[in-house]
Amino acid sequence: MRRKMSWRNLFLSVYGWLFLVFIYVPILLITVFSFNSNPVNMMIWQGFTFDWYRTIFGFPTELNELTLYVESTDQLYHAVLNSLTVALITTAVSTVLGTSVALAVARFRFRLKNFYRALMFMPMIMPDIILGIALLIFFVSFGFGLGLHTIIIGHCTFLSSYVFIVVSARISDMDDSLEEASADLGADGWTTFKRVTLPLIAPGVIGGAMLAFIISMDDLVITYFISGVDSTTLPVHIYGMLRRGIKPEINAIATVMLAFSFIIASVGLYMRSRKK
Amino acid sequence: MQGILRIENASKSFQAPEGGVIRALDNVSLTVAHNEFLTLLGPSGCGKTTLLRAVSGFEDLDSGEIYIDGQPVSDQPAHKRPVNTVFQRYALFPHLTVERNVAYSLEVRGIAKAEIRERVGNMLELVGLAGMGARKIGQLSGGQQQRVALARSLVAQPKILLLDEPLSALDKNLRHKMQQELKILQHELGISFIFVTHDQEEALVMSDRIAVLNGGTIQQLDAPEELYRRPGNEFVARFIGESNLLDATVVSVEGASCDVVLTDGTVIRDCPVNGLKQGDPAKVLIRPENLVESVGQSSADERAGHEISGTVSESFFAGTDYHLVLACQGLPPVRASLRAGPGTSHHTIGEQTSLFVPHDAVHLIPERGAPA
Repeated sequence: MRRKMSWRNLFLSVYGWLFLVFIYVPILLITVFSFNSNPVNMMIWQGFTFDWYRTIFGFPTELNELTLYVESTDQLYHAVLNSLTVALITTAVSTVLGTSVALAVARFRFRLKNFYRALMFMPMIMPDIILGIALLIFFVSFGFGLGLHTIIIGHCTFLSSYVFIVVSARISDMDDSLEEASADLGADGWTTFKRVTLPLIAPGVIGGAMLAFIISMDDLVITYFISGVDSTTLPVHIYGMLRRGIKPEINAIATVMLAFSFIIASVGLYMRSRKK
Repeated sequence: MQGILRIENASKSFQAPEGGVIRALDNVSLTVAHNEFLTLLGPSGCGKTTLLRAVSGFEDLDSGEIYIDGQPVSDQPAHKRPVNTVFQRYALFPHLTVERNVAYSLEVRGIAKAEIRERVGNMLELVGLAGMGARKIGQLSGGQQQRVALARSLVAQPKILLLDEPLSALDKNLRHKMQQELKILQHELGISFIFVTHDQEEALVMSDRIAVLNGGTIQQLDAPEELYRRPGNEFVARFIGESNLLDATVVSVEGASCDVVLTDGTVIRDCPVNGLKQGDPAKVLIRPENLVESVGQSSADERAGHEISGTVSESFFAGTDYHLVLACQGLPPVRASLRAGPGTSHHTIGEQTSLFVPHDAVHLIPERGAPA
């Protein structure tokens, strides 16, 4: 019996360790290789360098132009700027939309309520590629003209759902009678929202917003279909770079993005931890 | 009577989840006087909470009107009505301190900071929470939360305070203490309280008047003693206090008193007539604590017509009282609580015994449908 238990424990620890190895070793490798000075084969360690970071930020290096993707950093910056623009606007719009719908579904009784709830879940379970193609056909047939605006609209369609789900979970934890108490004490609807509802669901709203921001920054598949020629976002730009082969700069870009996501996620976790 | 609150012909139906319609309020009319402590008492689903929510503005009536201080309020949303509610689970704002919770109604109305501070301070003192203003709600005990809820509602100086089973979450000792405090507070403040509960003991202790509700209608609205001693119908008799209800027929009427015969043939004499006529069916209500041991009651002549006899089927001692159940041929079991004094003795099961029924201990309830 004891022996059997220990076998099981051994299996579980091996499984646990493998899980962590497969998640974090690739990330670790990419970070390490981003400092590798070998321009030809980035898998072979040659020496420590900041050159790859210097190139992506546009500082002069002594590297051979041929080893680089980035002829000028303008394109890269442009893509980053596009991504940030899209992510910020999308986050703002989908947070307001998702939160409003979550409140409406939780607070009011209306016909087909569960149908609307299901509708809000749909974009989450729909494959990205189908959503991308569907949006492309929709935009083209209605003559939208592809650009940043189509990316923003596209992202909002599915990110509102994410916000809806996160905020809904938070609202369901909230005691309905708190809003009644507020009204009872003389507060009108807007005052109640401002003073009671919003402060109480704020952790959910902030969490939903950050999730929306990260997913928007990160999205490739849907954006790939609905971005115009001049409206390349960072993931689409990187994907374009990769088609010309994997070069060491990509490690540096990836590491910077990773650091950025890490900071956002840390802030998010911090906000969550102090919700009470 | 021009009271602080007047409810006229209030009706409200709900769609039941299983289909069908629930009549939560069926043509309810009620007036609450200034400075009155009125309790809405009834089993769950009787409509008491619906009635309270209609007054506070959280439930719209299908028909009827509510007047607060003479003004119709049906068109007023909850936040404009001059009433405040203490909610069943208090509904305190968890993100605010005790002080900010109590200050809420004043802040919302834009009252000056200095005045808010003063009024909140006074109110916290009144409910015995002075010095606790900076605490978070989560740091308070159930009893303290109850006091915060009370302070938060009272600081707004409502014309009526509505209390929705506010003591049900407290343990027994604390509940008794709060019952007394609430009653004293109501008396000091001079505001009308409308208190909802399903606990008849609580209602009896606290109220000036009690409205007993069942099935969406008021069964009886009276002072506690009147309700207890002279319930208007069988429901009220059963709902309030312990009761023996025996089927009977009036055999003769003589002025204000009458004789009735029980289903086993026992005659009980000199009952208050309560509007009944000869031949009317009635329920005889005898409270268990009003029965006395026959032994020691003067002569057999005087006892005749005031006795119930049977076999002791249950008997136990409960400190202040002996509880007996008497099985009588042709009658439902009769319960008696005999005061445990020097003269009373323990009855053993199987013993034959008679219990004396004082003539003023009997109340006759006209059977439904009988002319009252």
